[in-house]
This record gives sequence, structure tokens and C-alpha cells, in this order.
Amino acid sequence: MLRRKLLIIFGSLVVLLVAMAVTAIWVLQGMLRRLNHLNTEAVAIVDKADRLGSALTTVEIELYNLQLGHKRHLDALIDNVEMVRKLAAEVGRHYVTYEPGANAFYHSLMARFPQFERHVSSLAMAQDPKLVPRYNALALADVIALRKDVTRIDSHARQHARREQLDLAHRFRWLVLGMALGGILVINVAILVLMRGAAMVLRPVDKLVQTSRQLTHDHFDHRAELDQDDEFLELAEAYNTLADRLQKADQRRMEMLHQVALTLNHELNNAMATIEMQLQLLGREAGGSRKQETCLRQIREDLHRMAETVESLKHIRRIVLTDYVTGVKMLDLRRSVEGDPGEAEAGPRATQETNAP
Amino acid sequence: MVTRTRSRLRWAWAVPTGLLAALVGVLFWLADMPPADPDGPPEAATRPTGQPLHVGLVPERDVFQQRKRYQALAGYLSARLTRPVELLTCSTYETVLKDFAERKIDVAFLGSLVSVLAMDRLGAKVLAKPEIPGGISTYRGVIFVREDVPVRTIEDLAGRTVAMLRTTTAGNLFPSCLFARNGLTDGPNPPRILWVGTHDDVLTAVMDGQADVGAIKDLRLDALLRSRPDWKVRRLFGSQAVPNNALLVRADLADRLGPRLTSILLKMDADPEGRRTLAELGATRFLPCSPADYKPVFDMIDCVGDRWGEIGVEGPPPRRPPDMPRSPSDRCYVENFSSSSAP
Repeated sequence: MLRRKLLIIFGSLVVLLVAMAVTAIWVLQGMLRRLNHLNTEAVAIVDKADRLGSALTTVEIELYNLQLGHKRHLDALIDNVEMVRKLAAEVGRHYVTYEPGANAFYHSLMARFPQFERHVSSLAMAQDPKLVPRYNALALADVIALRKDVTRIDSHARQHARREQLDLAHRFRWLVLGMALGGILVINVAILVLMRGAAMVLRPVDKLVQTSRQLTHDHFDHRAELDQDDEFLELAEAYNTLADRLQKADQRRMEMLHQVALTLNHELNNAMATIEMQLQLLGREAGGSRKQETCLRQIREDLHRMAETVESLKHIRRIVLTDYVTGVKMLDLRRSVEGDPGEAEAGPRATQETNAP
Repeated sequence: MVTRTRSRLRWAWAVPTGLLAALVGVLFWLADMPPADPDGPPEAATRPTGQPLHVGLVPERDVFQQRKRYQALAGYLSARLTRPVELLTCSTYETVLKDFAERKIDVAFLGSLVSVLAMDRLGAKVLAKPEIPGGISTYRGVIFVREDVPVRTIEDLAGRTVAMLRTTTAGNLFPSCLFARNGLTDGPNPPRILWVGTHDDVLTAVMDGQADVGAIKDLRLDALLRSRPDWKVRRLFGSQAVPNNALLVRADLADRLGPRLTSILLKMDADPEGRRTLAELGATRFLPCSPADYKPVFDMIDCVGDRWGEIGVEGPPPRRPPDMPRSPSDRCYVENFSSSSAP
């Protein structure tokens, strides 16, 4: 029963801690997802817009190279225009592009792009030396216009990323606070649960220890009283049974001692009465001898003491032993008559006291 | 009993602790997993190594689509030749001739006039020409007007503005030949020439009214009119058919590379991968091509005669091969031309 209770308590505690850990991990995972989103989406669009701008710069350089006659092949230009198209499409797939601050510029970009491609195509195909610079200039003008749109998209994307960063930092701050409060709450609950668990063990143990002490002090009438139905109750019942047995044995011993005392009292009182009468006769016959009177008085006092001792035996309330000689015990009559010195008094057992006989 | 209870308690703690540790470990691992990088480098493919084969291209229309289409062919050739194949897009006919001369390109897909120039000046050898759906492997130059323009005869062209395209057979050589042959060029009211940059610009100029007449490649005209059914034109004259974008090899590589390359191209339609590549290229197969196929170009050059310099090509006109007979003077064009380049 106790085991079950402890398992329930500690199991609940483990479940609580696991739940807290899982919740914390889940919440942190959410934060990581947001962080990942920030890196892969919000920041990625900035990166893509930057790359789009860089690709446009490269296209511009290629166009200038062709214009100046530094290059005569169009592959780099075509590849870079393809890259611009690819990056523009990637930017267009991003949710930030659909926000009001960027949507118009993206539409403008995409509306301009076919014209830009036509001009590049025309530039590539034009065999007329007079037409080539014209198409080149048109393509360059397109690039500049495209760059303006890209710059605005980039600016919006940066603002968006900044907003998301701030939002994430705000959420993270609240998350840390919430986790700290949750942690404190769980720690407090854990302490309460542990205290309850400890009380379930310590309270009956205290009572059992107390009972043990009472039994040690021969308070055989003391009983361990527990209100819980578990192994400690079984233990307490065992203690109480033992106390019952000890109490009964003690009672039997006391009864036997009283019977011995009565017997001694009866036999010795008769003898002492006879001795007393004999002493009175001797005293009258002494005739004023001081020496004899001293002896008779000494005998009378010893006789009186014996009478008191025998009388005391009748009034023994408990058995308190003391050392007689090494290894041999005898009854501490005075203390046995005095009875119980008090519950609070906890000292060595009387039988271990080394009083001189 | 006590020992057993202690043992059970130890396990009771160990199980959730272990589970929690495993959970934390899994979540930590998941959190640490790097996302797939869509821009990351592709897995290293087995690419042929060695001296690359440089294929020259001269832009004809959409340069971006053209490059994509030829990239498919480059991949196919690379696998068959077991060497890298790189495309070089040249901006002008001069560039491609210069690249041939400087050995920067090994082979090139060229229009008919530039092919003739390459054969004449650099000894390049023509290998094959693509055939597009419809069995078309040649094209013609077309002189056309908007349908509502009252120009029907050669004489009607006098004084008209003609949109033309420099250094092309269809857009330059053919109309020059036509005008010269019919005495318009030296007549009292010669046609006025409006030079534009592309075949598309020729049609646009005619439809916009910037020009009365246009000189254009028929294949391009057909394609443009398919995309603009509202544009109606009347075709007046057409040139003889000439090879469309044939492949030429550099003179010094003709014997070493030519036969192998020709063999690969001509067999492309026989294997599935080749057919896929041809489909990407927009062709159905490759056909053999010889200098004789360019006879109409030489005829037009002869027709232009002393006015070759007005074509815009530096240097003297290409010389007709000795074994190529001359055509009768009236064979350089077809009147009342209405059909496209039938095989």
C-alpha cells in the first residue's frame, strides 16, 4: 500500500516533470521553427532580393562590356538574364512579395521583364551596328528600372525581416518569463509533493520511534496510534501487540513480587515481633549497662529497617534494577517504590545504574 | 523484499528518465537538422572530361529559348562524343567568323548567308541541317505587305519604305537582289530602306505602318502570324529555299570531327534519347547538308553584284564554288508567293 502511494506520488511528480520538459521542448521547438522561418524565409527573401540586385548589376556590366566592345559573346549575358528571371520568380513565390508594400513593385518588375528580355534579344540579334547601341541603351534603361523595383522590394523585405525579428525577440522574452514562472511553479509543486511523500513516511516513523522509546522506558501501556492503512499500520500493530505482551508479563512479575513481599512481610513481621519482645526483655534485664543498651538499640534500629524494607516490598510499583556486584543485579527498592519518574525523563535504565549496594 | 522494492523503484525512475532523454535527444536532433538548401550545389554528375567542343550560335529570335534548346543538344552531343560541349552565343556574324578564324569555336549553327561566308572565307564545311515538324529544313525570304496596302507588283515597290534586316539572306540579300534585278535600286524612285534589328521588328514595322513593305524569313513570319491571327499580310515574292541553321565545322576539324559529328546527328532520330533531344530542340531529325544547298544564296549574291557592299558585310562577296552551276537570272525569286517553306 505504502509502495503504491509512493509510486503514485513520485510517478505524478515524474509525469509533471516530463510534461513540463515536453512542454518546454515543444514551445522551444516552436521558437526554433520561428527562428528557422526567420532565417529561411524572412531573411531569405532579403538575400534573394540582394542576389537579384547583384544579378542585375552583372547584367548591366555585361551590357556595358558589349557596348564597349570588351566582349563579343552573349552567353554570360543570357545566363545572367536567366538568373534574374529565376530569382525574380523565386522572389515572386515568397509571401512577403504579396504584401502591399512590395506587391506593386513586384508587378512592375514582372511587367517590365518581358520588355527587358525583348530588348536583350533584339540586342543579341541585331546585326546593324547602328541598332546595337540603341537596343543596348534600351536594355540598360530596363535594367535601371528593374533595379529600382528590386531595391524597393528589397527595402520592404528588410523591413519585414526586421519586424519579424522584433516579434520573435518579443515572443522569446515572454517565453523565457513563462518558462521561468512555470519552472518555479513546478518546483513548488514538486516540493509540496515531496513533503507529502516524506510526511507519509516520517510521521508514522516518528510515532513508531516514540513507541519504541516508551517501551524502552517500560511504559508498556503506551500504544502506537496510526490513521493510515499501510505497512506502517502493520508495523504499529506489531509494536502494540509486543507492548501488550510486555505489559502482561510486567503485570505478572509485579503480582509475583507483591506475593513475595506479602509472604516476606508475614513471615518476617512475626519473627521481628518476637525479636522485639525479646529485646524488650533483654533491655529490662540489662540493668543500666550502657554497652548492652547500645547493642540492643543497634539491633532495634536494624530490625526497624528490616521492617521498613519488608513494608517497602509491598509498595513496589515497578521493577528497577541496579548493580549489586559485577554481573549481578539487585532490585533498586527506593526507586522501585517511587514509581514512574516521568515520561519526559529519559535516562539510562535503572538496571544499568551502578549504585553501591 | 526491501531489495526487490528498491530495484523496482530504480526501474520506475529509469524508464521515464530514459524516455525523456530519448525524447529530448530526438527533438534536439530534429531541431539541429539543417533544412535542405534549394540553391545548394547539385550532386556531382558524371561529366565527360577533356577538351570541350565549342559550338557557336548566332541568335535568331528569343535568345533565351534558343540557348535552352541548344543546351539539350549540347548535352546529347557531349554524351556521344564523351567530351564536354560548350555553347558560345555570338552577337554578330562577324563574331562567329572571327571565332572560327581564331579557333574559339569548333562548330556552329549558322544562317544561310553566314554559312556561305564561313565556307568561302574560312573553308568551313557544312555537315547537317535540322528538319522541323512539317518536314521543313529550309526557309525562304518573303517580301510582304499589310493586306490593305495596295502593293502587288514589283513596280509598286518603287518609293515604298521597306523594313529590312542586315546581313541576313531573307531580310537583306533577297530584297536587295529583287530590287537590283528589277532595276528598282538604280531607278528614279528607289525603295527607302528602314533597317530594323530582328525579323519580329520587320513585321511590327509593317503592321505599325512604319514601313509599307517587309522582308522577312518565312518561318518567322508564319510563327508570328500564328501568334497574331488578327494581323493579315499579303506575300508578294519569295526567294528560293535555303538551308535553315545548318551545322558547320571548322576547316581544320572537318576531317577529324566532321564525319563523326554528322553520323551522330543523322542517327539522332533513331534512338529514344536522340528523339527526346530533337523534340527539345524543336526538330524531328537532322538531314545531310552540302554546299550545293546554298546555291540560291550564291545566285542572290550574283544578282546583287556590285551592290554587295550595301549588304553590310565587310570584304568581297563570297565566290561561287567552281562546281556550282549558275542559275538563270529569273530563278532568284518566285512571284505570287503564298506558301511557306515546303521541303
